Amino acid sequence: MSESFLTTARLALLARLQADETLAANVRTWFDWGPGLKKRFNIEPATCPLVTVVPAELSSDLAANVVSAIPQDIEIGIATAGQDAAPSELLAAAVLDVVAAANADCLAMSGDGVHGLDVLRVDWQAAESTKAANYRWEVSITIRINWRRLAA
Amino acid sequence: MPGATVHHSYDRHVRIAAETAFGVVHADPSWSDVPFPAGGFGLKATSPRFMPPTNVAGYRRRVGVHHQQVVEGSFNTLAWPDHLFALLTMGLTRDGNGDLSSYTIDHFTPVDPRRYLGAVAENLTLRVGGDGELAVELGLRAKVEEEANTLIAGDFDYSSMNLIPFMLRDARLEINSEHVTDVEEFSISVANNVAQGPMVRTSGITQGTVAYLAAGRREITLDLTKLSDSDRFEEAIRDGNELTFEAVFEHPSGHRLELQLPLLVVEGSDESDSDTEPVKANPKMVALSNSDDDDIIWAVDLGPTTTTLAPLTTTAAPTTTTAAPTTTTTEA
Repeated sequence: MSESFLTTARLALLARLQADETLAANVRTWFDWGPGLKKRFNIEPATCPLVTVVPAELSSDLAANVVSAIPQDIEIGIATAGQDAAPSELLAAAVLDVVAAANADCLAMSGDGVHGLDVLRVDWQAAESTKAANYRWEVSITIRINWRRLAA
Repeated sequence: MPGATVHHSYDRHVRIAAETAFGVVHADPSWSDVPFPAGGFGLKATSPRFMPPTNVAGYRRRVGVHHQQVVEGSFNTLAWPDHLFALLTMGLTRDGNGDLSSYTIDHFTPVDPRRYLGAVAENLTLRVGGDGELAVELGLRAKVEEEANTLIAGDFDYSSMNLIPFMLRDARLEINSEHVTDVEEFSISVANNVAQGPMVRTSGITQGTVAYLAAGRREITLDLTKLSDSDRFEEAIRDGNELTFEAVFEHPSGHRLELQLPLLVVEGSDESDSDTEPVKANPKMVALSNSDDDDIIWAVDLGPTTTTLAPLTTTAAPTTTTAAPTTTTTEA
């Protein structure tokens, strides 16, 4: 099956995140939602720090008679073990830096129709862990990849 | 209404090609198929009839003579890199006699395909505002509108064009050669002061058409909205100082747009102040010609891999262009 432009952009963003020095040095588990056998998506201390990049939302509107404006929302999830919020903040800041750089060069996909990335939302939540005595921090960062595509 | 023949804005298409003679389609037209937002194409014929107050039929009007078309309207689109050179040429480039070129414009609608002959740009506005996209607005006047029933949607091809317009986020703006980063909006307006000639009968056309559309003196203005952070504009107003303006857009795909107004005078500057926002300046500037007879200098380059849009200005040549500057696009 050929890859859609949505997958290409999501994986390009994931590759940028994985190439970042701070993230590469600190993230233990990259949950990439790729092909293969079913993986366990368990957020436990042993898998943290964990980063996951998933599709979140999509819409489409006409920017011109033959040009669609397509905002592709992607959610980047971060989970860190322990009740200290600092590790989650370190990773979130690194993610935002990567997104800013990707926005500057349009993910190197301007020829395909990407014309910028926006950060829509960053949410923190302290969650109870069933296998640990203390909390973990979960960060949800929603990124929008702005597309211009020829209307179907 | 079920069963009705309907179509939508996205079923419509526009293409533009330069003419070699006023009102005559080029023998081998080089079409620019230009996308446009809904409501963006407003060029259309009207029929202002001769309505004499004869009182022949009492209170009912009996006489209304159709004897001419008037074809005018606007074309609003975005600064698509592949078509911007053609649109700027349309509004800015004068020949040795100071005339603008005329254009054939096809407007495909599924129910009434039309052709406009002898279209001339009365006005050109380049505007960048809240949404960040550089918009191009052309005020057009044409010789005649005709049916174009052989035109089909398949005549339009957008497959090779870059769909991302030039945007403010990719622009570097300079006032007096000083980089400014707080310009929220600006618009460059060009009025060509086109004079419309008399209506004349043309062979094959049942009613009169325009004899000529002649461009007059060009007036260029620049409006800015930026933070009020210095006395730059007020000093220019008080002392009659001259300013310069430059905008260089670096498209993420490597294309480049350069706009220069080398000699500006400030006629006035509104200042907005509110409880919620910083005070902003809205200077209104008028462009004059400098000692090189340039009132506006512009360049479009489809770099870095293609060089199809070669003509670049001879001053302040872009450093990253792959197309050598060949001609100047400005004139007295």
